[in-house]
Amino acid sequence: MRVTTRLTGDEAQALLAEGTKLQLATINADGTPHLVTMYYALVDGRIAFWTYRASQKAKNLERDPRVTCLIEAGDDYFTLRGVQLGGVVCPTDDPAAVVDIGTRIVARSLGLPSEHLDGYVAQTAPKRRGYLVEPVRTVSWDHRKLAGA
Amino acid sequence: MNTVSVDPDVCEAFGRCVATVPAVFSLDDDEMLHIHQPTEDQLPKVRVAVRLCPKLALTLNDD
Repeated sequence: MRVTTRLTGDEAQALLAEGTKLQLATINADGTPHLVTMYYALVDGRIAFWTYRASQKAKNLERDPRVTCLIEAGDDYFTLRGVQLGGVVCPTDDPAAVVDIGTRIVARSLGLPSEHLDGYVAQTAPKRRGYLVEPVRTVSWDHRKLAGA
Repeated sequence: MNTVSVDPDVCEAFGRCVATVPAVFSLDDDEMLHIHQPTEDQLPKVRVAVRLCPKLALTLNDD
């Protein structure tokens, strides 16, 4: 029987919870993919990120809200695991929501205590937009399952 | 005694430290950073400010 490497829902959520960075694909005006690495956080289990409103990905998402997110871990073949999550973004310019998303991301990515980030996040948030990813389809793999671990 | 210092040749006045601990860091009209040495209870925020500097211009000397 072929061994399935697919992650269970809980395992996929655990992988998302332990990661800090993802690869974010958006679609340029000419149809080519635009790919960047972003810090992210989880808000009620959903992927959240923020970016400058003037950035290329923000412009792309204004035109077309479809994204693909890749979160992966592991180095050698039998430790590789990942989640590829396709969906659409829900953008927000609500100041409180942008501050909430930004605080979680800065705290997570830099390992800093969130209670001391209010000044910096409040300073930078007005230039940024927050996004939540609404998943449409998920593909996942965990090569550790091949080794029967 | 913990003292914080700035390398003025590296600082580009992003102001993240000022936003984080305005009682310790301030920028003047010429975008020069001025430091009012922190008290013990300001140190946790100063440590965050040092980490947030995008130019790595701040140094906290822990004795």
